[in-house]
Amino acid sequence: MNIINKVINKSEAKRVMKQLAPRPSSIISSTNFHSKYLFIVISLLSYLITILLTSFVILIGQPEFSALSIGMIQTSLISWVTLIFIIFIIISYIIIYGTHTSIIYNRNTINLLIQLGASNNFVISKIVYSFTKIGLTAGLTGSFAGLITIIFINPFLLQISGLFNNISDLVVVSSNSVYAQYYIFILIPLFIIAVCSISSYVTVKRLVKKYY
Amino acid sequence: MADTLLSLENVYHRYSISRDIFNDISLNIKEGDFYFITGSSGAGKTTFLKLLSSSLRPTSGSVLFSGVNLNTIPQNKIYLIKRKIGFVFQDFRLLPHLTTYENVALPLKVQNKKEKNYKKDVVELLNWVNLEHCTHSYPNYLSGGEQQRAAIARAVISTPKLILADEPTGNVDYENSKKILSLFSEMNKLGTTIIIATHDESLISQQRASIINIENNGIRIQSK
Ligand SMILES: Nc1ncnc2c1ncn2[C@@H]1O[C@H](COP(=O)(O)OP(=O)(O)OP(=O)(O)O)[C@@H](O)[C@H]1O
Ligand SMILES: [Mg+2]
Repeated sequence: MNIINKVINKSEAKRVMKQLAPRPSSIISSTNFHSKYLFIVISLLSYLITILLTSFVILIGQPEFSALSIGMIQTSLISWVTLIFIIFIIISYIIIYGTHTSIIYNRNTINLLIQLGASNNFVISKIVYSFTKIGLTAGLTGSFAGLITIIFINPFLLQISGLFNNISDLVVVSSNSVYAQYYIFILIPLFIIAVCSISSYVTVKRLVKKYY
Repeated sequence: MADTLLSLENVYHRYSISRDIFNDISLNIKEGDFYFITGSSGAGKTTFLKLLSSSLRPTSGSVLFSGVNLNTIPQNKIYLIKRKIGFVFQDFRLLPHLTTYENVALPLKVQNKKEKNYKKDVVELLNWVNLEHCTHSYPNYLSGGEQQRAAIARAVISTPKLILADEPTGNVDYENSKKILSLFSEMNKLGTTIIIATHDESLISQQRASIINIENNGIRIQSK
């Protein structure tokens, strides 16, 4: 009996809390089923870019790297740039897909906003804002996680290289050069925000023109 | 002589080839007019209001709002017309993820007005329609009549030139329906054009207004 009462009280409390809005809600509902997954996937991709880019920046800083033949330098440069480019393409594709889903999911809201006198630009800005927010949070999370990984992995790698002296110095990430590259952790989220907002802007502009 | 606000010129409308809803109707509505629209269920009252509110294009013929032809106005300018119209939907259409307050303030928000400038008005209006206890509740927790009053508040908050109300008293008791009618009546005295679709005979008897009766795919006007 006691337990049942407890459960009831809890759900009642939840209901009351839900009735009272804690803070202004966004017009385009951001509790979309897909926004959580978008956040996770883009965070992971941003993490990947961070790791790739930092290791790249560290590598080209090594004296051994400049000692490589022109051909090898070119090859590694091209593959790195291509890899990062492809990841950005993937992010852009995910956002385009997400924008389509969001417009379908929020079609009643969008229809109503237009009926109430919202201009196309108002609707576009609300949707683009929701994706910019995902880009911002996911970009920051991913690059922060990347930073943490690199900081933690450094002593570990140094230790390994101490045990096996024949491991190439290239693998050893010198902590100084990582800390010198802090701007990467700012640049990556900025790029991700830009990719997210531009992709969703282009998509939503096309769709709103077409359907509303 | 008041200016013409709305004019319908030889309007035909059908949703499917098999059945006409409107067959050649023409009508002029002046600024400050008060109309009731009657007709049996399925006659086309909602369709008529949609044609007037620029959310539906007639199959042929034209609708003019303040002299602007709604058929030829560019799609990216139509919001300027919609801002002059307050629409009370038969099915309310409150957004479930916004509170009553936010729902009512939405027409002002989409016009990019600053909240500090309209907050007091919204709260006052909510008090007036007896919804002060639901200000921060979500629509799903409101009764049918409360949702209807919220929908009405949302339609009038931006003081539009034209109010189109589709069965605005379908879910409320006699006292509240009298109150709603008096709100429309007050707004009408200030120059707002009001068009109400209703089945409610008692509502019609309380207000001096012209009646547009929709029957046999046409309209019959009964002037006040
Ligand atoms: N979107 C639509 N597509 C096809 N047919 C429609 C559509 N909307 C309405 N109709 C049809 O048009 C006719 C008129 O509909 P409307 O909603 O205008 O009636 P109404 O007079 O408002 O009825 P009620 O009093 O029941 O609200 C109905 O027969 C309906 O089935
Ligand atoms: Mg109807």
